[in-house]
Amino acid sequence: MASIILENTVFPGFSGPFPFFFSLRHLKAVRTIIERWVRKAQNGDKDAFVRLMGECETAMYSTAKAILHNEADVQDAVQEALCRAFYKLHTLRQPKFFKTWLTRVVINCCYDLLRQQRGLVPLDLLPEEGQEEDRDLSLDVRRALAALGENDRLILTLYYLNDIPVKEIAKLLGITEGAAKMRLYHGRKKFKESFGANGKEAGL
Amino acid sequence: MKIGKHGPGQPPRSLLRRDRAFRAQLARQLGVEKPPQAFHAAMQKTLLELPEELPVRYRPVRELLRRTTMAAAVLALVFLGLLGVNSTYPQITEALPGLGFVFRSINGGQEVPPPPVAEATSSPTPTPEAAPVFLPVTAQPLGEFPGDLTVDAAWTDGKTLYLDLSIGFGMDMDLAETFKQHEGDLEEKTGYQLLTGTPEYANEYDYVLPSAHVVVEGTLLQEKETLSFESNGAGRAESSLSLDLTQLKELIDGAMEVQIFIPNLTLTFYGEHGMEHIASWTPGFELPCKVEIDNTQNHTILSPTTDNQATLERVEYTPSYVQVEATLPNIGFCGDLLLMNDSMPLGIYAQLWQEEAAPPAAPKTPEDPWRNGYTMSEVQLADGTEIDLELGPEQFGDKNTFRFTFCSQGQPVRLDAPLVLTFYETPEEAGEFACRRVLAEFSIDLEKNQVFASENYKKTGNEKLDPDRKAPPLGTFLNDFLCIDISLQPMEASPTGMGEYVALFTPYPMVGRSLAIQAYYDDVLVQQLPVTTGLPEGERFTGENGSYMESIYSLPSTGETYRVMSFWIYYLYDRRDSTGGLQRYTRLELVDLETGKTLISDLNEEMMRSRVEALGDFVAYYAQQESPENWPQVSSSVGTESDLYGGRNDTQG
Repeated sequence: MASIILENTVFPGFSGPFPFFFSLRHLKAVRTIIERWVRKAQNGDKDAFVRLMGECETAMYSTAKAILHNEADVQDAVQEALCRAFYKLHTLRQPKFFKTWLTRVVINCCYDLLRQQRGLVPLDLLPEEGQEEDRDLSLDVRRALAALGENDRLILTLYYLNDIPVKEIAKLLGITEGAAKMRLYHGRKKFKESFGANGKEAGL
Repeated sequence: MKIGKHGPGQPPRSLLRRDRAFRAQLARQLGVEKPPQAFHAAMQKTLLELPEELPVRYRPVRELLRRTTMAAAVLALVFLGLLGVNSTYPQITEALPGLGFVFRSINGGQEVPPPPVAEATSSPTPTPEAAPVFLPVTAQPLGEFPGDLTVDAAWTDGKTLYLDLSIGFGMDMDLAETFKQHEGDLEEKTGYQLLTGTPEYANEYDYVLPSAHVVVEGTLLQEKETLSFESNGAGRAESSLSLDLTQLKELIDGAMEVQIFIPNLTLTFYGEHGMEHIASWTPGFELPCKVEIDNTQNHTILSPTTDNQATLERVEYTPSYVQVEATLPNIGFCGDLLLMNDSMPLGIYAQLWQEEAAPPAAPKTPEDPWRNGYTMSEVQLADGTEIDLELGPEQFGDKNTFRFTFCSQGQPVRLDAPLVLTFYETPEEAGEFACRRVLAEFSIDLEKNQVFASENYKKTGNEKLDPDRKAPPLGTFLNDFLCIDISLQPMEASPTGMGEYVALFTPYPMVGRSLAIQAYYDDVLVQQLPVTTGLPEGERFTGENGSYMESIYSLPSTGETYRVMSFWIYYLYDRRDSTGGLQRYTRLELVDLETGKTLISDLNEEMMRSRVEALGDFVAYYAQQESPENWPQVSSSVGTESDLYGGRNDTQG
C-alpha cells in the first residue's frame, strides 16, 4: 500500500496549499512542480496523485464550500471529485491546466449534488430568479444579464483563494472574460460592503 | 543593478489585485481558512481506498518514439558487430547490400569532410547606456532592532524614483536563524514577513498599521507605507519601493536628497491561523541617501499628429512611463454595442507596444500585467476626471491623457525601436486586441523625436473604423430579432438545476405574438419554451420548461429603444458530456408558433454572427485558442462513466 504523505511545504517561501505569503517567482515554481506530479500520476504513480490531492485539498474544499455550504455535502462532493479525478486524470492533455480541470470536476460534482437535492437547497445558496431588482434592467442590460445566476462566493473563491486566472474562470463558468472581471469587481465590492475593510460586520 | 518591481508613485490599485488582507478576510468569512479535520480524514480514507495504480494515458507519439529508439539501439548494436567482422573479413562487409559502400569507404581510408562551420550572423546586442552608479547605503537601527537597513540600489529618471531595500539581522544571525527561535511555537518555518508598521488587533484578526514614509527633497512623498521585507534566502530580507516624483513642486536636477523613515517594524507569520504577530520594534530606522538623476533618456515631443480624426497632441517619454495627450472624436458609447459599462465612450482603449515586438494579440491578465512592457495605468479626461477603465467615466471630453507605466523587474532599458500607440474602438471585454476595430494608430520614434500615423494594426488583420459613421453597428437583425447572449446558468426551478439563458433584441413592441425557443440534441427536439410576447416590463412568466421576461433598453448615442426578451430554458434531463458535466443543447432555434416559421434556426450561430458584425471578427481568433471543447475527452478504451465506478449508476436522461 502506498504511504500517504500529504506534504504541504514544497520549498521555502511557500506555506502550503493556502499561500498567504508567496511571490510570482514561487507561484511559477509551484506550477512546475505540480505539472511534474501530474505527468507522474498520468503514468500510474499513485504517490504523485496523492501529493496532487494534498496540494489541492484546500482549494477543492473552498470551491465546494462556495457552492454547497453544508459540510457533509462538501465532503461528499469533494470525495466524488477525487474519485473522478483519479480515473480521468490520464485524459488531461495539458498538465498545466490541471488546477482548472480539477476545479471543473469539483464544480460538476457540486452541481450534481445540488440536482439530486433540489428542493432541499437553502434559498440563499443559488441566485434567485424573479427578484425585485430584476425590474431595473433598462440602464445596463449587460450588467443585469451578468448579475443573474452566478454565485459571488464561487467566483471570488476561484480567483482570490484558488488563484485561477480570469481567463480560465470565464471558461469554467461559461461567460466572457469581461463578464468575469465585472463579477469579480462587483463581488468584491459587495463583500466589502457587507463585511467592511477590517473584517467588521457592516452596521456593527 | 536591480530596480524595484512597483509602478511609479501611487499606482492605481487594480480592482482585481490579490492582496493578502482581502484574501485573509475572504477566507475567514467564508470559513475556508483550513478544512476541518474530519474533511481531511475523509480525503485520506478515500485515497487509501483507491486502487494502487491510476489508469495510464495512452500516448501514441511517445510509444512510437520508444519503439523507434529501441529499433535504433538494435541497429546500432548490429552495426558494431559488423564493424568487428569488418576488421577481420572486410570482403564480407564490403559485399553487404546497402551497407557495402560504407565499409568500402571505411576500409578505403576516405576522409569525411568536416561539417561546415556556421558563420556568426548576429550582430552584437547594443548595450544600453549605463545609468549613474549608486553605491549602497546602510543605516544602523535607532533602537534595539537586531539588524541594519540598506538601500542596495536606487535609480531615477526625475519622474520616478526606484529603491531596492534590504534588512539584515546582524552579521552572524540571518533571518533563518531568527525563524528557528520560534520553531517550537509554529509548525512551519516559512511565511515570515517583516512589515513596516505597528501590530494591531481587531475582531480576532491581526494586522499591521503602516508607518513608513519617504521624504524627497524635503517633500513627503510616501506616507504610511507598509513595506514588506521577504527573505531572499541569503540571509537578508528584501523589499522595493517606487515613488512618483511628479508630485514635487520644483524640478530637480543633479542629485536628489532622499530620506527613508521606518519608525516601527513588526515580524509576522502567515500560517494556518492567518497573520500572527511575532515581534515588534520601535524605533526602527532613518536612512538618508542621495540619488543621481538620469534624465538622458527622457523625451518630450510636441508635434500634433492626426490620424482618422484622432490627434496626438503631446508625447512624454521616460524609462518609467509614457504619457500622451490625445484628442479623440466622439464615436459612440459601449452601450451602443451592448457592452458592459454602457456609458463608457468608444475609441479610448489604447495599447502601447514596441514595433519590433509582436503586436498585442491577447489582453493582459491580472497575473501578467506587464505584457509588452507597458500597461495603461490611468486615463484622465479633459475635465480632469480620472478613470479606471473597469469603471465608467462621468463625462467624455475633447482632450484626454493616457499614461502607460513601464514595469520592469530589471534595469530600465533604452528603447531603440519606435513605439506604437493604437487606439481600439472597444475595451477588452469585446474580445482580443487582434479582432477589434481600430480608431487610430501612431508610431513614436524617440531617436528622431517624431510622431506619425502608421498601420501596424493591419498585420493582425484589424480594420480601421469610419469616425463619420452615423452610429456604431449593432448588428443586422434577422426576422426582426438580434440574439445578444446565450449562457449556461444555474436555475433553481429547473429539474436539473441548470438552464440556458437567451437574450434577444427586437425594435418592435411585439404584443401578443406566440414564439418559442426550441432546444435540440443534434437533430432531436428535446425541449420547448413557448411564450406570448407583450409582458409588462419586469413581470416574469414561469412555466414547467422555463421562464420569460421583457424589458426596455435605450442606446446611449441615439436613444433608440429596443425590447429585450429574456428566456430561461431549463435542462429537463441530466445528460452528461465527456468530462462528466452537463451536456449543453447542440442547437437552439426561435420559431413562430402561429405560422410555424423558423425565425432563427441556430441562435448561437446568429449571436456569433451579429457580435462579429458589431465588434469585429473575434470568432476566427477564438477558434484558434484553447476552448472548453478541447478539454480532456474520455477515451473509448477506458469505458463508460458507469464502468469506471464499478457499479455506481449515474442517471442519464
